[in-house]
Amino acid sequence: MSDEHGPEPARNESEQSEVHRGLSRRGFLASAAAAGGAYFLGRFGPASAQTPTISEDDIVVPDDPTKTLGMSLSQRGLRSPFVHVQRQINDPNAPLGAAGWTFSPLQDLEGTITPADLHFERHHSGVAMIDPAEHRLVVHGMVQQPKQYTLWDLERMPQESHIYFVECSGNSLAGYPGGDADSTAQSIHGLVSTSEWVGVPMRHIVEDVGLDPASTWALFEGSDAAVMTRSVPVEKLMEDALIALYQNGEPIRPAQGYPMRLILPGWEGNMQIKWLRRIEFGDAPFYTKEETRHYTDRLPDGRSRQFTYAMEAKSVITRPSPGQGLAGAGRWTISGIAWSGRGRIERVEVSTDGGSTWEDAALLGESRTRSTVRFHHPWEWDGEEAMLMSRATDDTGYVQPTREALLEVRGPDYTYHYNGIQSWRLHPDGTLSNGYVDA
Amino acid sequence: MTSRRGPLADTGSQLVRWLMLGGLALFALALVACDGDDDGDGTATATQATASPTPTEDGEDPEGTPAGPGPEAFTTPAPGEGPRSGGEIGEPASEDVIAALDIDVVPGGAGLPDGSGTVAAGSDVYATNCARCHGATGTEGGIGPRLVGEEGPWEPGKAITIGSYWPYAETVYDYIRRAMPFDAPGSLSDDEVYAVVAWLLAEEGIIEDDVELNAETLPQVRMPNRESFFACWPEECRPDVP
Repeated sequence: MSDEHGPEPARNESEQSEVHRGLSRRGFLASAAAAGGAYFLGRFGPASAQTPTISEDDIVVPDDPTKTLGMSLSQRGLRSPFVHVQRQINDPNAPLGAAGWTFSPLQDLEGTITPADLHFERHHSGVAMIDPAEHRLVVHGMVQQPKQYTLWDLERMPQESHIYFVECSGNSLAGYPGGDADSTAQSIHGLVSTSEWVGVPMRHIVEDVGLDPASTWALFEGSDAAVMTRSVPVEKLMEDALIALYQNGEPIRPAQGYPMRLILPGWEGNMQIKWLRRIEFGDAPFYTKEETRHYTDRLPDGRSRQFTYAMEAKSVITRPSPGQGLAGAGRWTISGIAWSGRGRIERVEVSTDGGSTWEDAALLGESRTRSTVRFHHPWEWDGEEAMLMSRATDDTGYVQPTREALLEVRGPDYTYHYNGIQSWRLHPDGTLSNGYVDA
Repeated sequence: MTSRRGPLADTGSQLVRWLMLGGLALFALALVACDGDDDGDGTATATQATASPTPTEDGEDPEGTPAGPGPEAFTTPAPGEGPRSGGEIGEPASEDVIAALDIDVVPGGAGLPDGSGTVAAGSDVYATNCARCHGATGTEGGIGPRLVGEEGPWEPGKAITIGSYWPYAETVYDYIRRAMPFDAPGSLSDDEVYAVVAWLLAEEGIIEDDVELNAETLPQVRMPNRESFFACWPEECRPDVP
């Protein structure tokens, strides 16, 4: 279902096997002894005899790490056994395990970059496993020369590196009804992740095929079981769209579209087609299911907005947030992330009294266009009940709205693009709960 | 010596795999087999264990480099073992290549294939391929969403069904052909897709029971909710909250 234990990209296997020869037999033994050969094959796949030499089962925590030889070198690193970070599957009991989403553990992360194995997932028909040697990106339609590209062709084209967030259009949708008392930053807002993406700007592809100037739209199509399709305006393609090949320094993982995916900075995640196999240029939208039945916004008057692309400015406090707690009154740091699909975050304000007063938070590091920025705010808690909120402003001057303001305009049937101010209720016992729900 | 080691190592690793399938009792033997061709020199066997395409025995030079395009090729290894060339980037896509992938069907009917389907035939297609997820009559839903049983145009309080919400019949055809059935995507024939679209639209009262859908008749279907959509590009509808 997820990518972590699937076959590695072919490009990595030579390095892996080199290390494997010297070190891996202990790993064979440990894995097999721990879980049996069948488990071993199922986990790492029969086509890949290479294996990490260290598994979670190998970890021993000595009483004094200065008096015991440490653990071996390993091919792939592990997290500390004291760090428990994982995605949350929306509905683990859903009969269609391949269709659904997993939330990124926002409350456990700091900074802005999301580790690739913790990037949120939203798949409509599962994770496609693709052999890059068999994969082609075909570009056709209103072009002078229809072309097909291999992964290695794209590697040879000029590339760029950018740090962008990707956010599911449905992220935070629990905010419209309000969610549950025990909802968390992860379960409400965890469908946003930030990565360094390296790949080929779409404008180079456009030049290479000789786009007909009359073309205004392009269909992007994935090579998954949903053969996912979305229409994208050519204007966006020429501005900043990327065919991404790398994520956070490694080839994109299968769950994020290996071997290549579309990145549309700041726009809803569904459009950023994973496992990209085809681009067809035309002069009208293609009206796919995902821009008619889904990803349209139903208004109180019965009409529906279509092609609502940008993810607007938003912020959320990730620490402290529900599931965590404060041990008592005193000095704490309020931490969170803010982002805007229309540009750069200019300002984040924090309120601890339910929005009566606001103070500017400090932005850590560079605030980049269409990326997340981390904010910190030192706070002295007096031990009384408090309502923690954050409010983002981007460089267009747009200020993150309240939930009430969104509901008033959009009504109860609106599903996507929720970006209202989140409030966390801090109780005198130091626990937190979803502030949308009455205490 | 060096060039022979790779294939031997491969045999060894195959052996390991089979023995592991045999269970833990044989596992120790596998380790012996693996040890047997190591000889304390792990590096020489490394290249053989790489991904496809597997180099032939003769294709390896003394350095253990996989057979490649030759000395004129770019010397820094390109990622993976895929095709490399110093010439044109990409190649022209033939009509056949495009036709094999170009399955989209758009409003107006462009892309609709030959063939046809009736409502009666669609009833069988639905029962066989769709009912297990969407319910016996398509009004129930289940593993998959409810599909039919609500009149359009949609308004607050109404269920989202094909008839109440989808603006184009062409999209129904496109989607079913590309992505359904969920557990057997792309398994329906073009005729079966026409038929099941006809059955769904007839269940919604959008077409009569005796209508046969094909590339000519399907684009004539007018969906009840079509006028309810309005585009927020290039002129945007948001920000909608000050």
